[in-house]
Amino acid sequence: MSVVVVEHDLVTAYGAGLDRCWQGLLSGKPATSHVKRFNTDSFQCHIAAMVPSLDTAASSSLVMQMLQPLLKRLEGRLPAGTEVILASTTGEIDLLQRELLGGTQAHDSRLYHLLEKTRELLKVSGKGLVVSAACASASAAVAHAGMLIESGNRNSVLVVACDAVSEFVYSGFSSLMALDPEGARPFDRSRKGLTIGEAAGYALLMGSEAARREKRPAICEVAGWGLSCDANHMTGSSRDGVPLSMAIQKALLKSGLAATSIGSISAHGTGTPYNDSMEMKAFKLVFGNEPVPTYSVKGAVGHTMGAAALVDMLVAVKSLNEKVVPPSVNARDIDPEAAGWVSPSALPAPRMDTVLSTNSGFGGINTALVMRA
Amino acid sequence: MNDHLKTTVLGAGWLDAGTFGCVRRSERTAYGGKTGIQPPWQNAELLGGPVKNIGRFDAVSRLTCCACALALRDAGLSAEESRKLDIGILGTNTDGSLDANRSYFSDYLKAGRKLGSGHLFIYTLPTSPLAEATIHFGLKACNLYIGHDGGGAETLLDDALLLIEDGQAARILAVKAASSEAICLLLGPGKPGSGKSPAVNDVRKFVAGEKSVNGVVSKLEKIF
Repeated sequence: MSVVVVEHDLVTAYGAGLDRCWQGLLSGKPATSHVKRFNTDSFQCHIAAMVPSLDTAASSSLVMQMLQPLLKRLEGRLPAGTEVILASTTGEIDLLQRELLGGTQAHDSRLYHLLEKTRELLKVSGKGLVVSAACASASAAVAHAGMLIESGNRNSVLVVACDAVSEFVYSGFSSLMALDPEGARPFDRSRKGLTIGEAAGYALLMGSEAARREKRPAICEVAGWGLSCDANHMTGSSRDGVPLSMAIQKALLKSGLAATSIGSISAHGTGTPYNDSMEMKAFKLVFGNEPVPTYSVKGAVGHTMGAAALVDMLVAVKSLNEKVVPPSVNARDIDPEAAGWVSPSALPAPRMDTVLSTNSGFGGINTALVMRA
Repeated sequence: MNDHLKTTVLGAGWLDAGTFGCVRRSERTAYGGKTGIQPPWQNAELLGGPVKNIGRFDAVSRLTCCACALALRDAGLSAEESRKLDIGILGTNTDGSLDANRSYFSDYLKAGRKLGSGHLFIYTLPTSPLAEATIHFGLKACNLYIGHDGGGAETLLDDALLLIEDGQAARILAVKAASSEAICLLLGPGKPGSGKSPAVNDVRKFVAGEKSVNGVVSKLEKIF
């Protein structure tokens, strides 16, 4: 039995919907703007990729403001018995900020509480679960969903992913000197760091037979997934790319596909010097020196943390259906290490029917997903 | 034979505010206070060698590392051996990284909202304590946090078993850790039927619904 995606949606700094995100990427213009939510004067950087219209003064958290309109569309339409997996890193961290700033009473900012609110929005009965794996949270959640379906434990799993731009994460990344004041330039020779972004989205995964029974057409197959760990450093990635290459190999093995079938790679591509270099080493370990079209969306929509892997996956699915490899926005002077692999322009890929999406996070977490048309 | 019977609990280690132990080895050791026994995080031999910066770890990370060391020891594996095996780590708890989140942002506010502490910030992810363990023990298979609201110890076993059966790791260190107590079970291939290596599904029935570390340890001591 295969695992298929039957429905998805997202909101990014480009606005609501995958189509808007896709068009934004093709425009080559990053969706970043000056941060006005909090004072950035003492930080390393002053821009972020923020979803228009979110209000920090609203009673609900920033991630709930993104999730409410998205999930409302699913109410009453999920297959019976659907398991809900919430993927996030900090969730409603702005509620904790408000509390500690003394402006409000204590709020429950735990991810469990956000899961409960998500389930209430969807009006589902199951308890659901939280999957958190740093900036690979959403792909780890998709992998877990795949395992639940393939093992016969569930017929249908909804992966919901979200994270917001908050003073909490912005100040933290700034303290680590991880932000590029000019905006993230993944795979660019002069890249200096990432741009924080925010997003929310979901993917409904089903077993292929259950999807057929429910008359839900498959958008794509999640053919393989792989997880690995660097076991190297809390914030720095492996220097040789071997652990990420292991995750990719596991995903390929699971899919039963050869490396040569991969038509494009959605890289994590944060824009930090070490991450992007590590990824290129991993890709060359798996694919050899024959370049596979590779891109990162993070120069455009920022690094959306717990939602990043879902954004990457859905853009990869769109790319698969459109037969176009999107550009790496902001990558102007391609690093020699990525030359021939990464392009600042969109590329037609008429024969592309399988794509790879990779993610890496703090603590050396790596994930790889293989999607097939 | 049921597939589940091929995966066993190879060892289990735990610690709380005043005691640490290994279930399979039937060891319980009081530490601190008047005992003269040093806490496990100060015992480099027990940890399989010095853990870099363990004095600067947050409490959950410190206890996670110790629980992993005790589980590996219980299974008869040294830290050196763990580096050569295909081992992943899976964690859970009830509060995620809430304490670390409070700690980071409170410190940032005290500093006048100008500069955060990178050191405190790195612990603000539910997987950070697990990551410290992966670095020390060389765990390269996987690292993730899965939380089930209100779930007992059986959910941790179910999730670990799923990862093993999916081929993501040959062995999993399954950890439940808070700032004052932690327990870790090492799951992997073993000979089920022996009381020294009980099948996961047998253990699962015993610990179902159990949420506290002491409760799980008591149940495990009966089955091992």
